[in-house]
Amino acid sequence: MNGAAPPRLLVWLGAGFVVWSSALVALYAVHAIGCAFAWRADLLRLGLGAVILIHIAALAMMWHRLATRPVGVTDGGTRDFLVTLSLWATIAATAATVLILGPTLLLTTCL
Amino acid sequence: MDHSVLRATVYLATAAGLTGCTGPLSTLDPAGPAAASIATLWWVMLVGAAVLLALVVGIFALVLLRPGWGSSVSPQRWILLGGLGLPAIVLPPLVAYGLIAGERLLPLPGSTPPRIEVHAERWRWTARYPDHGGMATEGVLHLPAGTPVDIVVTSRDVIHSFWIPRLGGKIDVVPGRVNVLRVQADAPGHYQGQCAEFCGHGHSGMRFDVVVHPAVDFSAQIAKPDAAGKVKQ
Amino acid sequence: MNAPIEQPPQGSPALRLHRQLAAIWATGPGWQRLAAVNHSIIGLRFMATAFAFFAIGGVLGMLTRVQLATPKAAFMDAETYNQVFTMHGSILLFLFAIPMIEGIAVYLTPKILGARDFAFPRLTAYGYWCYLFGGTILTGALIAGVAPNSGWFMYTPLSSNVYTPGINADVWLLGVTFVEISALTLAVEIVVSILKMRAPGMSLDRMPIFGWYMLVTALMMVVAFPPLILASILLEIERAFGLPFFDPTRGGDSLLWQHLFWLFGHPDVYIIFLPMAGLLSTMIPVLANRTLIGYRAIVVAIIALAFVSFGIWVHHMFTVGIPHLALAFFSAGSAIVAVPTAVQIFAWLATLAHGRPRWNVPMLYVFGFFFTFVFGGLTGVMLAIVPFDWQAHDTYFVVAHFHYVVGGAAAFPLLAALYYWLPLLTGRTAVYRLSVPAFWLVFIGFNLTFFLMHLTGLLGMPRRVYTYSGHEGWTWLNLLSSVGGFIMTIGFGLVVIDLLAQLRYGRRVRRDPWRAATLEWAMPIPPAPYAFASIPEVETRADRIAPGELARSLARGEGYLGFARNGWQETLGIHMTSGTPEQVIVLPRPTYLPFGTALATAAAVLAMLFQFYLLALAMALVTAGLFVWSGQNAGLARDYGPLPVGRGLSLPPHTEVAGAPPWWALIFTLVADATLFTSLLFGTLYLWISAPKWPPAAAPEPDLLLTFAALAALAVAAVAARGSLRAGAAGGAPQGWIGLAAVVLLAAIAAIVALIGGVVPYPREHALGATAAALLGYVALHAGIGLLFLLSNLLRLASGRISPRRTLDLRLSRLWLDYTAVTGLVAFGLVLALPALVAMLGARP
Repeated sequence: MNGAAPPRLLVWLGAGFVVWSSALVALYAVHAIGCAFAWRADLLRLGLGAVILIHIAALAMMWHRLATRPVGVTDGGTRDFLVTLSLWATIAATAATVLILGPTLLLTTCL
Repeated sequence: MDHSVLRATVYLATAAGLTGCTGPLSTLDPAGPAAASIATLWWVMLVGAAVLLALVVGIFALVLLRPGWGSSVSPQRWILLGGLGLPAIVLPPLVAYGLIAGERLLPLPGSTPPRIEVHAERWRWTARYPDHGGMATEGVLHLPAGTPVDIVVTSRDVIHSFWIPRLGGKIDVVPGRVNVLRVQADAPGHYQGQCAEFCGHGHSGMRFDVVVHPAVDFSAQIAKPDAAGKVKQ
Repeated sequence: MNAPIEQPPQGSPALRLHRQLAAIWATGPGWQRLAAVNHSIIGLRFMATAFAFFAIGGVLGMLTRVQLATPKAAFMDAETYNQVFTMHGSILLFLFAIPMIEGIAVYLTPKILGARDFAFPRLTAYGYWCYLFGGTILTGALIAGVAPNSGWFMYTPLSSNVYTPGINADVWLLGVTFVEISALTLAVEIVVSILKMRAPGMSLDRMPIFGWYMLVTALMMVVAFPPLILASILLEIERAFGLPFFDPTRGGDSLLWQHLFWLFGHPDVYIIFLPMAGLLSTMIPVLANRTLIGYRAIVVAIIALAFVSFGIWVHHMFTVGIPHLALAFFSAGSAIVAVPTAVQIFAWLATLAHGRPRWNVPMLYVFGFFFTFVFGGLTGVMLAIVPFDWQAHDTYFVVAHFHYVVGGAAAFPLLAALYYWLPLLTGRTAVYRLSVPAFWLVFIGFNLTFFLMHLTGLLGMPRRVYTYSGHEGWTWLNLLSSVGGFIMTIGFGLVVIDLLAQLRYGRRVRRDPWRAATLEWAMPIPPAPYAFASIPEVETRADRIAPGELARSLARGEGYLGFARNGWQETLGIHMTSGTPEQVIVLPRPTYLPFGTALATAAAVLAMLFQFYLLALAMALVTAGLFVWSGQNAGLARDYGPLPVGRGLSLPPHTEVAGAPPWWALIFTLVADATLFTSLLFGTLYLWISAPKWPPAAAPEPDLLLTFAALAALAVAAVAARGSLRAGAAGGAPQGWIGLAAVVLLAAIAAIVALIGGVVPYPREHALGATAAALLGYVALHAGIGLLFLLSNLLRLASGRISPRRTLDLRLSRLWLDYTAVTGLVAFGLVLALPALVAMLGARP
């Protein structure tokens, strides 16, 4: 039995998508506020882009951290399982952030 | 001989197919550019969906009826190709096309089409024409042909939805808000619209007629005292 | 419960063990059945009751098809029709789909994970009774002709008391909330049980895939139900007391209801799909005689699905007037959510391709699933494309789509699972003569009914119309759909007859008929109340078990806990990730308390429904008192230290470890609670930015002094809770600290009540006042519940249930009061910020 798999590893399974969720919420909020207060369209777009980039940066850091895990963990045990799945989930979350949120940068802002 | 029989069959089938799609409220019988754009989108998606359904059900059938079919493809490849590859080919172009088409349907600034105000309340529609002396019609909407019009919708009570299927998509009429739908009919004629959001027991009957006049005649036609649906001010 | 089929020779160790455990775990006959808390019994009750509601909901659907078969039919008038279609949707979604899944989860999960029961048996029972009573209220209203009639998603303002003045809407709001709160408590229980109560050695990478599916689903429930519960509470408060949250004439917004509802509603459909996919992932490998392919890919896929499903709710609102750019994220997301689903579909296809699949009745229903679910998924992707949705929204195209996915995702897998697992439940296999024709009638009828609706919708037929003129070109399509409906109903009838025939005349079996590979088959068939005579040690992935041999070994007591001790109902608790055994969990015996508490809760709900508010308050207090009473006998009466559990191991009882089930239960309950709170925060901010008639005429002026006093009181309460824990752990007297905490909580509540009384604008006049009052009320409610925790602690200290080694109660109170203080800080902060926020609105163009 593998004692080297602390429960907090479970948090990493969802962490990437929590960042994606934050990006979605932040984007929707900034857009709503920007349109309600009639910000200039190019500034609003810049703001939305910044929100997306910050979150992609966070995801990239998490991806890196999971991909360069400590040596000796690739033992097929529980820890390896959780770290590998967390890595795949973080990659999926990054793809989701780019694909779902990216296109919005090209559309008319407030109509 | 065979050639003409084949041709006749194709014509008949197309006619039958198309008749099956016509109707006063049919989205597949477009009478305006918005509805036409969406109808085209639909036919493309229908073909794509039919192919994908045939693919998946076909694979299922083969896998069940031919033991060992597909076992030479590695498990990883099954999941990567089917689970990731197939969606990656289908979804991005589809979503991109949809977003571009959607953009084109918006009431974009840059042109200022005439506005008609449509007011919904349980269970009837009233149209006001501010560019025509504020006259009003009830149960009937008059439109000019071949040119866009911005329909500004308001409700006094519950949520309704303004929809003329042969001309384009719908817009909800939300109390407390003002929504705008850009509508354009290709040619003069009679069309139908209806409420598309459940609003109580009169919902089924909450329809309206749409009379499209040639654009040059529009002001004259609706100024007539016996214009359809006209109400005394 | 029948005696197990396996009868070992007289006097054998297995028989002796069986008798001892059966005596401890049995539920008495007659009236004592109302006291049952055993997961097998409750699970079967859930499933049987859900089937009854399926029949009722199905009949309602058929009534709509009769009405719509011909134009201008006089079968039902509009008012009747509106009640019928609202109840068709509400019953099938709230009283069939979710409870059926819960029933399956309750019955199957402990067995497939190697545990003897769930973490909180009395709560499971309470959940069932709440479901039964709530469902009865809803169905009773239907019989009385006052059923909800504003559609299953109850859009406002139609469902407000201006346009729906009778009790119809209140029946929905109260009844559904009643059922959903019980579903939520079950969800928390499922999460805790899956994380902490598996067989030793079952690390997370060895857990059968069904465990992952249920874990993710239950976590989704924990986060998805609170927005609905909040919305229902707010709408009921608006209807009953006039506080405007959704009324656009007083600063509310009807779109807020839609956002809150669909934030629940979209994940809800994946909550229905995922457990069924879990059942498919369990059956398909067995039917293909090959271990599941893509275990890890599936786990990642369902995690992705769970999250993404929360980010696409606006696809139900593409036509409300939200800017296209905002719609774009939801459109892209709704398309991308097909990817994790595709991963699962191809994992199943790969498993079938690499195995040796056999044709049998479950596989026939698996085919039914593949066809209808993929079909429905494809139309779903179509609807994700915004311009297309602008035509198809609110038409029969959508009705076709969701019936395909629900039929595909729920009905067909459910029937496959029934045929597959009925031998376990009943000890008999199917007769099979009726099964195949029954399937084809259902399949053909289903497709005839719903396939045509795609065209009907594209020809312009909107949803929820009770009739049509006959000149639209919809007549033949509706008639054929109705005919299809009858064929399908006959098919379902045959399925029911077939299943009943199996129960009476099926061939008896002693072991699984499928060469299954999971733990639920490693026990007598049908299962005994204790499930496992002894608990297995798991050394491989738990979908590679040989159940037959294992069953015999476990029956002989060769696993853990293969004995009776003190008349306790015992099972094991493990380390969450690694599966190392760490505690003995002692579970409560049968009791009437869950039944009584559910009755009190139902009384409170009915009192509110009929507007006897004081009586409702009294019954709510009675319910709270019953919960405190239930807590009195929980746990153990004294310290025990490590107890032998068999195979040379000794473990402390759950009362003496840090990570006991109640601790984790409170954590996940607070996750649900925090979701509700966050929804309230977002609701307030949404109204601020988006609702009509803001800013209000009267500017808010929150009382700074009272607010800081209330906050300080909450902080002191949290500190006092820490003090009580330190005192308790050190063997001192925590009562002083508990008393201090109680006093400051009362002060906090008094301050908050005064604050609510002073809210400007008056809460009935404008949504700003209403939301401020709601935020303050939330904090006061939590302070009040904190008082219940403290009362319980005092009582349990007096009876010796708390000791330096058994400090769980004090830790739970500390956690609750910390949560109350933190949410108090945020809520008060927002209320104090409201004047500034309102002033900002002046900058809007």
